[in-house]
Amino acid sequence: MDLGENKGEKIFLTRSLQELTFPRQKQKTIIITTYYLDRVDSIDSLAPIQKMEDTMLTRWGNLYGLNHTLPVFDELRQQMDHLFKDLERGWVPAPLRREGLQARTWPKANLFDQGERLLLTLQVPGLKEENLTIEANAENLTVRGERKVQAPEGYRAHRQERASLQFSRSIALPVRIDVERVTATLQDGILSIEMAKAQEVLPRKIEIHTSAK
Amino acid sequence: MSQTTKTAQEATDERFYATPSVDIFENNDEILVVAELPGVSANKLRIEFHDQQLTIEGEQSPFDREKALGLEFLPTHYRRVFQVQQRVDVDKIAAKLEQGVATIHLPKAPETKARTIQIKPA
Repeated sequence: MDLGENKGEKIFLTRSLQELTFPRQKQKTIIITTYYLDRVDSIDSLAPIQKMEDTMLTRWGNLYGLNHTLPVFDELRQQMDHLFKDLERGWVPAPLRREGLQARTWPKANLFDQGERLLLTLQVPGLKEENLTIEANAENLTVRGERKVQAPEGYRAHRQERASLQFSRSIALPVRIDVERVTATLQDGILSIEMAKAQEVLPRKIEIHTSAK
Repeated sequence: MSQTTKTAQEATDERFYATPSVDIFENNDEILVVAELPGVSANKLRIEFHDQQLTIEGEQSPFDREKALGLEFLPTHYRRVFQVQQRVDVDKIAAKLEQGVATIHLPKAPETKARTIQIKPA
């Protein structure tokens, strides 16, 4: 479902609305991805694109991932829809913008299973600790952040591909975690979040008692 | 003997390169290049200025893909080359890397700086 709407200067575009049912949790979750894009008149005025993504909840398996084939096609179909919709409206289609496909999911994330811990790494170049907030409960993790990119004072811009952005990304974790034992580090523009799995999901060694004879 | 020897022409670089996002600014004194290279540490970043060409190249630290539950990015090799029109004071090129963002200052050679010419009253 797509809604295009003019709100003053900003083009307000609700990109997708999906309803998912989690069999385990027996509840429905609605995923809304919202994009706010500044009106652009020509390629040259594209430079500082104000971009906002508000992903309320993404189930890990539904992410645009490298090792998931079907969501890739789903994403591709969505992009084609948007390409034609943008062309109809006379916009520069999103896939042809300079930042290309990268803007679709921001920040890009990888999730690893390290046995007793889960490790989530996110590419957040240019963001400092104070620009990031992480919230976690036993099943979901949300990372929020804001980055402002401005031409330095007194300089003219020849090329601007890095956009100011504001994001919120929620990830439904595959296992329950111990919220008290979540640590995050930021290095070289990569945010690494280590989450200790909850005790109840860790494998436990079962003692075998031999009946005394 | 079926061993193939690669000739110079055949020996192409088989690596996949990603293009980092770049901002380019200019003022009277310098050209400022800002490149986004998440995951690249300072010792894996190479910035070269040669023959009026600025090369930015960086390698992301590798990680174990075996344990991945979901991957949206892979260890990437970044590379981007720019042809610089202006004369640059090569000895004064300075760069820093902060939060995965490289800032490169290319000071203009003194003779290419724009100067305002004072017109003397007759």
